[in-house]
Amino acid sequence: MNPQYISLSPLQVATAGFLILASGILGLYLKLKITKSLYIAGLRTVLQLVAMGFVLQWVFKVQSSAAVIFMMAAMTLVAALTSTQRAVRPFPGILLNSISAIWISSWVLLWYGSILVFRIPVWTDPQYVIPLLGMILGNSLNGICLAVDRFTEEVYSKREQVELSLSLGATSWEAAKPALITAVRTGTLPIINSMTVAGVVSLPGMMTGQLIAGVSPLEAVKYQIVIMFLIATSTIFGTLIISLLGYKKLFNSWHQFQYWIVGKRS
Amino acid sequence: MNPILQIKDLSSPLQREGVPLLNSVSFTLQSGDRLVLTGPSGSGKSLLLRTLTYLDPIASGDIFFMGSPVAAERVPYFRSQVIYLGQKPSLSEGTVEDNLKKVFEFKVHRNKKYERDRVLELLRSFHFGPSFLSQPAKLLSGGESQVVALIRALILDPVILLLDEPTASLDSAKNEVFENLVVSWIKAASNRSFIWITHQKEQEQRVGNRWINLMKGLLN
Repeated sequence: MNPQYISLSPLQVATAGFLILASGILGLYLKLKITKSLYIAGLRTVLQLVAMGFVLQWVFKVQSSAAVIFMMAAMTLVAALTSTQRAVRPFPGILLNSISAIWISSWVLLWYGSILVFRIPVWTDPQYVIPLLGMILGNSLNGICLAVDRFTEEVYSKREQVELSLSLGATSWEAAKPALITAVRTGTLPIINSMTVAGVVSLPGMMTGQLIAGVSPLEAVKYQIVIMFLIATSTIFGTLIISLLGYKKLFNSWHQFQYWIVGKRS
Repeated sequence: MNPILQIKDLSSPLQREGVPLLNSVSFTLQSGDRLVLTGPSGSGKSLLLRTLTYLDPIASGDIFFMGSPVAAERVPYFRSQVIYLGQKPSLSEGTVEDNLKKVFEFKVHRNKKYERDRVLELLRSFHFGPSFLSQPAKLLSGGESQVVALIRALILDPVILLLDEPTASLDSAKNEVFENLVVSWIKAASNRSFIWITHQKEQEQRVGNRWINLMKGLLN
């Protein structure tokens, strides 16, 4: 690789930080009520990324499989927690559902990517698996979040329709199927959209990073294509799993829609 | 003779101010029974019909259909035989005919066929012509929706209809047709029966041959 990129000094980073400061002042002036949350978000960005930087530096140095796996597990758990934190209508077991959906979908695709596509000799090589997992998680998380919200909202707000089907002899599967389809479609729409416009409207983040780091464009493109496919498949898996698990929780073996376990809109 | 439907000590886990909304309700339904269910608003009438078709949760109690308890995997079949018609009839997008046809896609109705002639005949009794079938279902009035909901249930050939204030939005002419249609449906075969929730005194007498009253989740 060609290390001819510009290394940033703290002052240069601070120059970018000035933008956030200025935006906040503008927000105060226009009474937009965004200043506080903007500053907190900015601070979190700095703290979290710096912390991540130190952890990564350490993980890259020690080259221990256990450390890499531990780190990946932590990333996956945080993703799962985040995806249900803002659930519109929570129900019992939603966190466990989300952990299963995120864990299975992202790790299966991570293995597929690192072993079959990249063919890295050691599958815990942090230089590959951690950025890969990070990108997969970020996108699955979005899809899963959208799908679980949509599924619950769909069956709950269209309860009349669901119960009508049930009362006319539909199995719970037949009654829930329209909601399941809508949920999976909603969850996978963003990634399908970004695949559609990749390279035309937007240069994806990873490719941008590689270009700045001096990788040749065609090389960066190959990486980006692989990443897109891994991300898309993992998102589809994840949204499918979370929707099916949601179905299993909200409908019981008596073909009842258990509307009474669904929580209040938060 | 075995009752078609037997409800034994049915209770609901749903409560209001610590009192269960259904408290150990028992009754039986025989062939030909035209059971009118009365009681003040909030006494649990709709809940009773919804609970006995497993739409609402059951705390305890037994439901026997044709002499045997209803097993979990047989609930869709049970619901195809004991059809609950909700207070607000729910129709989905598409035409009236789409709505009528859609239910035949359910596995439990696979051996049945949508018969257009029969639907047209039922519609004719309400003075609706064939063009009614191509109307967008979402544009129907409350009363028209109730007619469609009844027809949708009748063409599935159930043995019991559970009617939850089914004529609340009908004008008096259509109300009469509705009542006559349901009563003659009962008489047309030997194993049919209905439970009808109503608040109208005259209707209670016209349609019923048995009357029960629900008060605060208890049968009187």
